[in-house]
Amino acid sequence: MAIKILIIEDDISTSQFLSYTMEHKGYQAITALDGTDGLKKALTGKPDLIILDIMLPGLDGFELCHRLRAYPATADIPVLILSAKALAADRIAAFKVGANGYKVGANGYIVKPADPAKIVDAVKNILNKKLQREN
Amino acid sequence: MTIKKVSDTKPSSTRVRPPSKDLAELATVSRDIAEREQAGRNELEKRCRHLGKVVEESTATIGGLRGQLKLESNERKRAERDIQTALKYAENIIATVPVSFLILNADLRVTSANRYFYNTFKVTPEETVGQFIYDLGNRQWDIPGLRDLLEHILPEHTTIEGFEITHDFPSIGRCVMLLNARRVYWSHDESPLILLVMEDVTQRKSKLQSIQAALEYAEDIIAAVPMSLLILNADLRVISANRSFYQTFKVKPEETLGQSIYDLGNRQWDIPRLRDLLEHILPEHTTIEGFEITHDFPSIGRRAMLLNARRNREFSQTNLVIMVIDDITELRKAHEALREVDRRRSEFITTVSHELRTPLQSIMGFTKLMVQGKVPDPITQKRFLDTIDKQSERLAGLIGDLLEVSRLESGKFVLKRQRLSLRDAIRSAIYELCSFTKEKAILIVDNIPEGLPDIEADESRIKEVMFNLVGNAIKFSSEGGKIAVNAQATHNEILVQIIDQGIGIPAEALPHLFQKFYQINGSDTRTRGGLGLGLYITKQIVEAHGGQIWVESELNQGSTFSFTLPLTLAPESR
Repeated sequence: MAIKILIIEDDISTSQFLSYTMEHKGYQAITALDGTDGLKKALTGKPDLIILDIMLPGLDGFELCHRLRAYPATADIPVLILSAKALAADRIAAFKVGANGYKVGANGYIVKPADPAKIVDAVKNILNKKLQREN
Repeated sequence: MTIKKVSDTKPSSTRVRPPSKDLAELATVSRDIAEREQAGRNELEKRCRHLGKVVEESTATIGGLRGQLKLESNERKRAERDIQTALKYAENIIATVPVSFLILNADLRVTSANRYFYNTFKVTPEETVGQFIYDLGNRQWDIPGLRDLLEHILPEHTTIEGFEITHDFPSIGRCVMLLNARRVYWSHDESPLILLVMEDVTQRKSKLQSIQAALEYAEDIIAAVPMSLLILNADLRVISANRSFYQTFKVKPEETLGQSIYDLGNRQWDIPRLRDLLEHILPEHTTIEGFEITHDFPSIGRRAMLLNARRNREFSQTNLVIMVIDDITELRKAHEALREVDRRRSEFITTVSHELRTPLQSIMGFTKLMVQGKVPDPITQKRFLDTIDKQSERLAGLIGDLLEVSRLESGKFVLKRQRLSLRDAIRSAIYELCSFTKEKAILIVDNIPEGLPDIEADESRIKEVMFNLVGNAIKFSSEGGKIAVNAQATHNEILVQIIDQGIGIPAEALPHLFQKFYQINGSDTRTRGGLGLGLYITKQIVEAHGGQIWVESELNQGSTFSFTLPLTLAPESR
């Protein structure tokens, strides 16, 4: 069974690019264009990894990540943030405490624009760590 | 003393008389004589005694008179001495006092002057005594003020004190003289003398003036400083306050002076932090600077006050507290506003950064994939190239908007006005937007009348306005929607309206719609991207042409954007 990657990204072009890149590496890609749809697909689709944008309509990436951590079904899904937010503060917030004071707990953070190879490497690394943890 | 006079009576006792009768008669006579003799003797004695008494009294009187005479002579001598002493004393005083002393006779000629006068005015007694006062020293005393005093004022008053004249004396320069004058009669038959005392008060005057000037200077500063000044005594009662204090706190001097600071204006100054400052901090420090208090003053509302206080022990024993109160409320507000501007700017940078990075991600991503040979399928390649192309244009558009705003704000925004048909300009813009309307099957209804008058405007800017407004209408219309573009002319302007049936604008967003970087929060608009500059730029262009722009909208019913362009050039417009 192919590894399933959920791409939560509101920019259609970026979403298409990420889908192609993941599929080209042999992963299965599913997409969501806003936070609410992303949460729904995370809960039902059982993805192995989520590539998450921060500035999303509806539910923003930080809040979505925090919610994912609260559900047993999604608590352990690794999250790679791919965001245009380039400030160090955002990066720190992604790993520790979000803007509203809650824990976000992302597993990786990449600033847009990023080379597809870099994104693929990050995805591989995170998946490997997950495998190590599970074994 | 007793004197016996017996010789007169002796001859009568020796007279001869007939015997018998004569004897008896003789005896009687003899008795008689003896009695008379006795009486005479008594009388004599009595007189002698009286005489003696008189002599005694006279002698005593003469003695007394002699003594008195001696006494009076001594007194006179003493009095003369006293007078001499007093005169010398007075002369010495006159000679030594540092004031000029001049005695004039009734004709205003100098009878005498003191040393100080000669020294001061650099003249000699020879050229002074006997001279007419006005003629002294090259007529330097011919001063209107002095003439006035001597000829008009003094004749009517016996004494004049503190008469001040300022005069340029050729010998000593400009002086301020204080004159005291007095008419004196030595005796009734003589004409009066005039004593004239002149004191050179130039230095004192100038010192006084500099003190006065310093005082006024200080008072001016105190009055002019925009900060409130309060001077308290050791009991923290107000001794004085400046104008700014009264103005700032809307109080009057009569309800302030003498009051305890805490009691001022309904105890509005009874602030724990102020108590802390005055009662605990200040007693331990001479100066307190930059002590900030924010307080709700009943009279003037919530204010931020910066207090500087100073204890003054050097100046007086009363231990004054000088307190400078600076109302920094406006400064604080300005500071907050500046922080808001700063916040918005960093928000803007975040937005710009995000908006630029997003299209760049797909451009970079697809390009890298193709360059790395990861897209072998030619149809997919074509699809990706189309996306790269579209995203590049989006990026260029964003940068263009940013530059436009920068131009608008730097004043380099110049309209290239020319006579043009608004109808043609609008139609050309709509035509260029057709490719976008086809995607969503949107119908644009052109209701522009043929006879619309020409205007003087910048054609490319007017087209930009139409691109923005019609472009927005297309963006926010659902598929198959209808957009109407209407235009009509009044006597002095043309009204253009763009009416869509799209999603509409939330009422709370309407007032901010034309503001720079404003973006409506909400899932539907965010996905459409943009910097929130389009409507801001549009408004700037319309207003630069002397027109107005406004919007009416109802959520889920559609929006109507209207703008006007004047038919005649406003004289002040560019």
